[in-house]
Amino acid sequence: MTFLQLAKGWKPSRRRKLLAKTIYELMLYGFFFVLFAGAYAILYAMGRFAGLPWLIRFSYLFALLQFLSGMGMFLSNYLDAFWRYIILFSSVAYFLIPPFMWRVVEEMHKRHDH
Amino acid sequence: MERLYESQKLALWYFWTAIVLFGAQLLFGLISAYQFINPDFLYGTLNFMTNRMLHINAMVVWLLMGFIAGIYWFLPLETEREVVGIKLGKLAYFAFVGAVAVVVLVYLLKQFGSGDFFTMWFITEGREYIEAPRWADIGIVAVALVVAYNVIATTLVSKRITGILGVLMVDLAFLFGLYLAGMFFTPNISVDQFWWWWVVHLWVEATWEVLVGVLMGWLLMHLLGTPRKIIEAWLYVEVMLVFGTGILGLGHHYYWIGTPEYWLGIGGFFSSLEPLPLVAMVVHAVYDAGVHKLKTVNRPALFWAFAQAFGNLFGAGVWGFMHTLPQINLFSHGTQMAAAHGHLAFFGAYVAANLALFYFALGKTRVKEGYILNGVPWKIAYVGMIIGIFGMVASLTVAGFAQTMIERATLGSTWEAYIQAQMHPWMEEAYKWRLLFGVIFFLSYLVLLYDLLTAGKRVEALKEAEIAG
Repeated sequence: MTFLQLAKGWKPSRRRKLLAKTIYELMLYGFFFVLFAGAYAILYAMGRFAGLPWLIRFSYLFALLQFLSGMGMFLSNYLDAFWRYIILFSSVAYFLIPPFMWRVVEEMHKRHDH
Repeated sequence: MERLYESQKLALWYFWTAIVLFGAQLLFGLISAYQFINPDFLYGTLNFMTNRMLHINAMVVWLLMGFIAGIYWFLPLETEREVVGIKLGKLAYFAFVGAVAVVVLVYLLKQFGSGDFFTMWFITEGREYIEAPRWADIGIVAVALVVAYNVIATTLVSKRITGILGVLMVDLAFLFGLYLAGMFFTPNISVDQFWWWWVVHLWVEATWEVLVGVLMGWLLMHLLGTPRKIIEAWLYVEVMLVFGTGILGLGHHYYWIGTPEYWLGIGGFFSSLEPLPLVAMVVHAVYDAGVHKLKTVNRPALFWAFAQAFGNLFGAGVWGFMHTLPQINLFSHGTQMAAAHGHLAFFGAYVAANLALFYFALGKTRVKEGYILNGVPWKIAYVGMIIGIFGMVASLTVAGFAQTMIERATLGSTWEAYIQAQMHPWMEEAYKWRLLFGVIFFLSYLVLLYDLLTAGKRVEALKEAEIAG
């Protein structure tokens, strides 16, 4: 492709446009995947600390959103099975990390604070 | 106010030098940001490549100085004695500062030379991020050795080998050793890059992470009274996680430099797991914030410590994961997306940590018993810097998306595609927004500087006036 071709109205192939769209979507899914996982962890921990069941329930919304973002990546045909299963593993792991970590932190402080 | 050890006075010298270099980093960054908009600006006088080099090198050096300051501040508290080689430490400080001044002057006045040994030894080594000439490289290694000697000798003489000191001693050995990997050349560029990343990645994502873990551990013990056993338990967990994900996460730099294909799998796998521990650590940060109800005698130190915990998640985790898989990185590698990730990750993980440490030290030197280090300027600087960095990162992310989509995925990574992408409004406008937020960040730095110069003095003067009134 040259400037001349561009000037004459050259358009990238449909295949390349599809590729760009796929990459764009995967990057966005990846961005929101960890962002929502972080939001879930923060809100869950705040809810547990303050004893606010509604905040804990609200945090599950972000857990769901992170899972859906992960599914967006998992269902993409662009990634091989190996990568898709890593994403699937992470999606499930992020669900479990906040409650698990909360127990660890509580236990640790109980043991050492006194 | 506590009586200071000589080592802590040395720490303050390092802190102040670091803060001045922080300003230099921002100044060169602003010039570079403007050169993206107007490439003719200072062309032939202070070229973009020199500005960028100074911007990044200043950052590496000031962060390193901040870490050394943190070590010299807490080491006598941990060992309950003066540092053994304090005179050597001071000598190393002057050598370090002198070397930095000479290197910067050479960068500014000479900038580059022909591809021979003279250039490598006296002007620039030429390797991105670690451009310092060979004599300065040797100086950096010597300073690292002096710090390592002081930590090990002081620990052994005090006969007080704590878990934190054990981790620090091992980490300093790696800090010194890994830098050597960037000090030899091989004729094969792929092999050369392979070793070069040992310095760039393994310093930042392994030895620095552990070092910051040690320093933040000490900070939390002294600032919030967090029990040592909890700090040490977390430190061991962090070391395990760094070994588990950070070291082999190095592979994401090996994707496209000519290394064997298996690095795609190794790098992608471990990199994709890197955000997991960051999310886990956020839970503990929230717990700590809740336990202490944000009450402390040093509010800026506490808030910068929290900024570190959350900034690490966003900068390294969110902005890192979105382009770490090799299938995506094939298109995003080296675009403004990487710059967005780099800016936020360094700010979150290291800048915030250094500022927390500096404020803590200031509190100990300036604030009398019963007083609280607080005020308005640090809050303005804190909020301004966070707005500034997120604004810059958001702008660079938009530019990075455009570059990845247009230049790489759609038009196929040709030189013409590069120009097309650079001329796209999403990139042109993003560069302007980046500059604007860069200016906000710089102004916030000036407020920070004012606060650091006057904090404690100002509050005490106010309190004394109130008492007198």
